[in-house]
Amino acid sequence: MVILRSEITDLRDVPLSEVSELGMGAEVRRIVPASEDVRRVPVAAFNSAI
Amino acid sequence: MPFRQFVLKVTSRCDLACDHCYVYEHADQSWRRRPKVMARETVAMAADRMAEHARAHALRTIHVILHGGEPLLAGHERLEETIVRLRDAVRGICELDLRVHTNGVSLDERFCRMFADHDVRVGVSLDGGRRANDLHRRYADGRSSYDRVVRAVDRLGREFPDIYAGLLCTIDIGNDPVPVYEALVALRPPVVDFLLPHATWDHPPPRPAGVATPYADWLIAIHDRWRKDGEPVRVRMFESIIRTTQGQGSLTESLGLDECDLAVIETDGEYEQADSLKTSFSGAPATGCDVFSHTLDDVARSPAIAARLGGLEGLCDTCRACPVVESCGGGLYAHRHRVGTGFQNPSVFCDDLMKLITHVRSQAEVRPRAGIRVRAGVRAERGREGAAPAAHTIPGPDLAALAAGYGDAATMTHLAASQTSARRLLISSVYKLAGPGVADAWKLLTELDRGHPDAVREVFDHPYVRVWAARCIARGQWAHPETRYLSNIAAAAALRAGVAARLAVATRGGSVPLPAMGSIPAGRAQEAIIETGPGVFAVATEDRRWEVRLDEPAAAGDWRPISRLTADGVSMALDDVDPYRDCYDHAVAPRLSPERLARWQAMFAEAWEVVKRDHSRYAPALAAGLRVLTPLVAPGGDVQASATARHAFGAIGVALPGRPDDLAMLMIHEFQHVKLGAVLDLTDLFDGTDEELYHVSWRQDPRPLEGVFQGTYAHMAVTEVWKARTRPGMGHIPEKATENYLRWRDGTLEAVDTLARSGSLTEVGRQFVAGMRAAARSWLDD
Ligand code: SF4
Repeated sequence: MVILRSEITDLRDVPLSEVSELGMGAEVRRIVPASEDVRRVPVAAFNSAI
Repeated sequence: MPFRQFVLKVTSRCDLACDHCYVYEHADQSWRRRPKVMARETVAMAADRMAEHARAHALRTIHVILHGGEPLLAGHERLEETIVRLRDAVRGICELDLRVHTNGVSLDERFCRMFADHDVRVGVSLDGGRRANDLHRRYADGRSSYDRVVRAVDRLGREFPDIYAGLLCTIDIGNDPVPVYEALVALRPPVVDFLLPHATWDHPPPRPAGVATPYADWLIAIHDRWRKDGEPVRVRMFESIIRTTQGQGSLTESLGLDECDLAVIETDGEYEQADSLKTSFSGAPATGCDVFSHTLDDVARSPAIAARLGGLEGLCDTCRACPVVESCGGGLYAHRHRVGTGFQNPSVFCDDLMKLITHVRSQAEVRPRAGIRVRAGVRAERGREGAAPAAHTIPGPDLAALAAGYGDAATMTHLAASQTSARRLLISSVYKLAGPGVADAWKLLTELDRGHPDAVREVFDHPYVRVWAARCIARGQWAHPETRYLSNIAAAAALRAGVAARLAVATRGGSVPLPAMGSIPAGRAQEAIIETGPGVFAVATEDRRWEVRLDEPAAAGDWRPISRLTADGVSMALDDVDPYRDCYDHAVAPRLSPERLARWQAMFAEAWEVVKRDHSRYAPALAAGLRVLTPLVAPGGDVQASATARHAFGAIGVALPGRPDDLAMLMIHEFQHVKLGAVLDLTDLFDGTDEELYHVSWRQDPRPLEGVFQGTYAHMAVTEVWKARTRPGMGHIPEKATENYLRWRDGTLEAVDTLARSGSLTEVGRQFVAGMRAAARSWLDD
């Protein structure tokens, strides 16, 4: 199997004070898919509604 | 393929007269002959057809969008009747994701309350700020609709956030893109999407002379600003490009290669295809079927639907050879139309789509933004000052070992490292959510993170800390009381570091918990003050004070430290105090008595001997990765109980069984879920939007794909445990053990095949399942 490049950014050496400044909303939502603004079901794919 | 999405046209008229509307202003004028409001009998018949279809195809969820015209013109009562009829029809058959999409002008408080009562999510069309919106979205007499819509959206966001689905903006390149984006984001929608205006090759979209890709340029300006802002809102179009690039499903029919699983039901009960086709030619969306005479399976077989192939097959040669086709999929079906060649063309927005997708992909590659300082000198090999942090990786051999069901200490180190990062990210997100209320705790944590990183990591890595963080994030703006627990985390880290600190901490269930350490009862106090120092801390409520020396825990009678279980070569916590250990499907046991703890210790030591002796391939990963056992309430009789929770990496819940070899089996079984959960955090093994249900031999009810994956992976280990038990002298009746082994073996082999055939695996998922399959098939060699 090939080496797996994951979807989790290595933040072990990023100072905590800077982690909160990163624009990583998508990564948070991926790990916590139940977050209020995200449902993992496709939001009605119908183009003319959201 | 079954239909899963239904657009119910509850009205065929609108109270606005937007000049870009595909219903009234384009080729198909069928609205003129249809009833203004869908009749009750038509609603009832449509609802029953959907229910019939969901039952026939064992669908877990169907999505229904109440649409129009303007659906709110049906009025409060009729719309509520429609909603109730739909919910009644599918009750007990499937979940119903119900939405309404409105122009917002009539969205009063009564509508909002009614939608909230019936869990109907509301999407609103809005084209940006006042100037942008008024360009098209006006009443027939020319008046602006802007103020009414913004008032309605504002109410939705403030008073009814749970049902606020998002905003839909039709692009007009005459508007300045960034102000449009800013106006939309200011209304705090959970999701935004931008629609390309309706056009075909015969009626191409407006393009200023000399500008080749004005739509891409417009969207790229928004995309870049959105990324610069830290992606404050989901943008369906951008997210779909990223998802499809990674092999996942698109979130919109206008992008990607997914087949179309959408049926439209008009006010007269006629079934149609996606109604953007109204732009193509008169009658383009027609299927020739209606709810009174045809089932949805009839519709699926109708020539119009059958001719529309999904995937690459349905595309023209140009699209098939295109480097971005997985994300683009030829764009919206309607945009491909040209008289003569029909739909066998690229999108009329082809150049724009190509440029946009290429840009979004290239930007996503460098996520997170560059310029973040990596802690200098700590790990020189991983980045220099100024470099962007890389993604975690797992070496191929470790991934292969995991796929086979095993893994060793090194494998677990990789998984644990990624969990450490995930926790740093989630805890930081909670801080952002909580704001000034936890500023002191955050300041302390960031200081400790600089001077005592190991102490912070030990507390963050306690399994139930992530359970807390995930709960806060899931609750979003409602999480505020919960977020105060960040102070307890900071206090525990200070204590571990031996640093002097003073902090107000939260109580939970009558105690002051310190994660990874223990808890102290606090009576009815809501808050306590903790002071930490080297090896000592004091907790004070309004009426009591405790001082605890960590080297003499027994002296402080009320302090309930987390116990440790030890056996030859392993040691792990027995956590029976953490308030967030309630994350399992089973009830957790209260604090153990000393006698009960002694039983646990004795049984654990024996169980570990069994693991090492009889199931040695599972021992290294367990020893390295299992950090916490939490006692569950025993169900009684011979029934065993054990559980894992996706966010509690490193922990399992177990009710103490009667025999050590059963405890060994439960630990091995549950730890499989822990390992696979961590792999799924690292990467998607399958398409999370697959809503199909699959049968497995160990469950009566069909399961979603993730359930099949988890169950199969765990049962690979269970099969091997039974295989070991067939050997003489193992304390089991060999015939019985053989019977169990064969049952689990065959069920697991079948389930691995189900995974392989699901059609929903990602590339890594395919490799992983191939590894599982090879391991499982080796049983047949015996
Ligand atoms: S970018 Fe153009 S050629 Fe490529 S898939 Fe899209 S429409 Fe087809």
